[in-house]
Amino acid sequence: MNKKIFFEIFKINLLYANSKITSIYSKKKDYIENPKKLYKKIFLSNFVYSPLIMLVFYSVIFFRFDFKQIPIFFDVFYLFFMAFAVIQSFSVTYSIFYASKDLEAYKPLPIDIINLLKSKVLIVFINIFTHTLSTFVMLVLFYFKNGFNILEIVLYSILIFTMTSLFLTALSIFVINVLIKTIAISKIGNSFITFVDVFAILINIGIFTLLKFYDESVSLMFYGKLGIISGLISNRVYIFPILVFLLLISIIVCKKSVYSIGKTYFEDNEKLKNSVKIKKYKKSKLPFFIKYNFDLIFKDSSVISSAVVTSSITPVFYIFPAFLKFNNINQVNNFIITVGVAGLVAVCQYIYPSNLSSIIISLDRENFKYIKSLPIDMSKYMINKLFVAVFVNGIIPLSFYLVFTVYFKLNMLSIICGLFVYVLIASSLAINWMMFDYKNLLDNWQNITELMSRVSNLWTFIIFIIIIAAFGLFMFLFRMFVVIGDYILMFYAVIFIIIVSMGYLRFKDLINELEK
Amino acid sequence: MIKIEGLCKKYGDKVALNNLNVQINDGEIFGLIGHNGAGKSTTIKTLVSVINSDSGKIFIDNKSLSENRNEIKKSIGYVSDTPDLFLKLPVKSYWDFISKVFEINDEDKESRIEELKKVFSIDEKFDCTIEELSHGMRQKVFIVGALISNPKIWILDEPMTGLDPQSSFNLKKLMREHTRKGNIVLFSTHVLEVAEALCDRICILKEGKVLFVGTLEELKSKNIGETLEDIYLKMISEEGAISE
Repeated sequence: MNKKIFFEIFKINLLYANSKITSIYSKKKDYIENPKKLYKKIFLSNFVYSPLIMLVFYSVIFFRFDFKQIPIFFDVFYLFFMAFAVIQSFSVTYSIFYASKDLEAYKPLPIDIINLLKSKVLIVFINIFTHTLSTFVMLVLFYFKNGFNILEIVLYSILIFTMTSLFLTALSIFVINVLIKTIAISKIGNSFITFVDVFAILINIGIFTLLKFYDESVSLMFYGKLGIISGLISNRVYIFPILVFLLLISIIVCKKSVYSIGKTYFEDNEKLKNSVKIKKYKKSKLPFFIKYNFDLIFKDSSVISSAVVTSSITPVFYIFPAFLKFNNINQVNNFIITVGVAGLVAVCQYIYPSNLSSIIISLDRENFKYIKSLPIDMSKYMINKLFVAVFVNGIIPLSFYLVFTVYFKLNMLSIICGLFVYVLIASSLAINWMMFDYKNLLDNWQNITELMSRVSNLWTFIIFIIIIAAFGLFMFLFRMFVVIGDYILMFYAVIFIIIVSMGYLRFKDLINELEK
Repeated sequence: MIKIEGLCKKYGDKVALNNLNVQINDGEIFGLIGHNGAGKSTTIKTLVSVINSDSGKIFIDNKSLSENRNEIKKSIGYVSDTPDLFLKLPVKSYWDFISKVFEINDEDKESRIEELKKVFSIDEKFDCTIEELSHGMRQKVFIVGALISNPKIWILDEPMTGLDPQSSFNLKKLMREHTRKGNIVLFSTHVLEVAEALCDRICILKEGKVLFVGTLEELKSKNIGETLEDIYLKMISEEGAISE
């Protein structure tokens, strides 16, 4: 094997597997003058610094879990993290084996395909390795709490962790290869990455929800219950046979999958393209610019995961669970709760820069300049964009909001008012972000991170503090209802009027800017 | 020498190449001409191992391509018709990578890149990824990449597309110089004036079949007073083929 070529291909695939960092750092002066620094940067960021932070973070999180008394918790979290790691790896595996389309680029070059495929497998392995570091921490704590000696703790943890990572690598490549062979991925393309990203976010939320709800009462319920994994790995007799089994399965599955991918490499991409049926054109029933904006959002998985799902789920994840501990919520003024929560969700979602309205104009790319040259009413054009941004960003939080209101049996009139308040506050705040987007327009962006990083880190931090303060204030007011009663309504009304008025004025400014 | 014997290729029901037989000799600039879908790119992609033919054989310097693939690839510099490859790579990294693949030492690589940058009027330091370049600039980057190793055979798929007139002129000059040393340049083009000005021999393809292979003089001797464009348009509209 030519080590130099192997290493060169490895470096290229590192860039494909980390396109966000590549697009940011490849523009910085240091990295321009010395491209080798870029590889070092990616490697250190992803495979050294992040893992170290994760190791510390998960050590703190899991230290309180008693894996000796409640070993089944080990199984639950272990499986969750393995699922998270392998699902996260799907997008990297897909990206470097198929989406990068570099296999065709390598074909005319005197490169041994074995080098090529091995370097790609290594990237997937390293990616999984870093995502399963939490399981390494869990293994160490598990063995420590179960009274194993230091040598056993280190040896077993490292071996099981490594073999599991190998197994998950093989599994990831196998699954992607099967999906490609069934042409499933070719047909759905980027939607697959979207689905994977969203599913990974949901699993992540699941993990943190479980962590949040762990307390004494829960641990009593599962006291002494042994899971399959904890049962096997706590038995010294079974450990080595399990490791050998994992190793053999990983090698066999990986070899077969990579061999299959290698065969695809020698087949024509044309065959694969021709087997995909061409969709018949159907005229859309939606107005042109509504469909156009929906397509801009839904045909780009990075937009969906960064500007839709993440921005929608984060405020929901923190706001609604905070109310679950209150037993008397529907005794408090229905209207105050319903409207207050709706407004708070809108504020939390739209104060933070990672929402659709902050990128909706830049999503047009070069189309925007062309559209400006057309005889189109720009105010209607912007209203279309505002509508789409607020509508799409509202799907997830409003779904949770409706579940919340049904769960707490809040009255219908209040719910309708709440929805109205959400829409108005969301739209008013969204317009500010659209103005920001217009003034900092990027029409040649390659990666969603470029759009998201237009707001400085300092402002992002300040905004984060504002959100915490807003949330804290709302919870304070809610608890103080008994004392201050309907004064809360006056407070809401004032905030509402301020936000909506500002939004209206900003919209007028935006239209004036466009008509200049 | 490149020898193509009985090359056939189908994409589903569409015949891309139909029993192609062509020989390209050392010291020739050989042009592949044809309308869209004639089989030019398919021929080129088969030669550079991007796709496999359904049947037929290719010999390069009397060595079978299928049996000596990697060795033959080392002697070919290929420029694709779509410069959409290695998009995430910074330009310098792409050139470094190609140099390592073709086993060129750093000194030779740097001097060759500088030489080629002058030829194609590339003043920029290229502080960006390939993705961020315009089509024409990307084309230049890939042409430089293909020629860094100074390969014996240049296979260029519509290389002039997107190039500015000066770079286009310089590339043509390079092509002539390269073949004067006994090397081969095979390129495809839609622009008949370029083929007329540059090629020693041409091959006119239609629907995967050879309509004509030979020198321009031979073609014009059978169509006195007509330009290549006139002859080509007449041939494409006719059923029959005139071959050498």
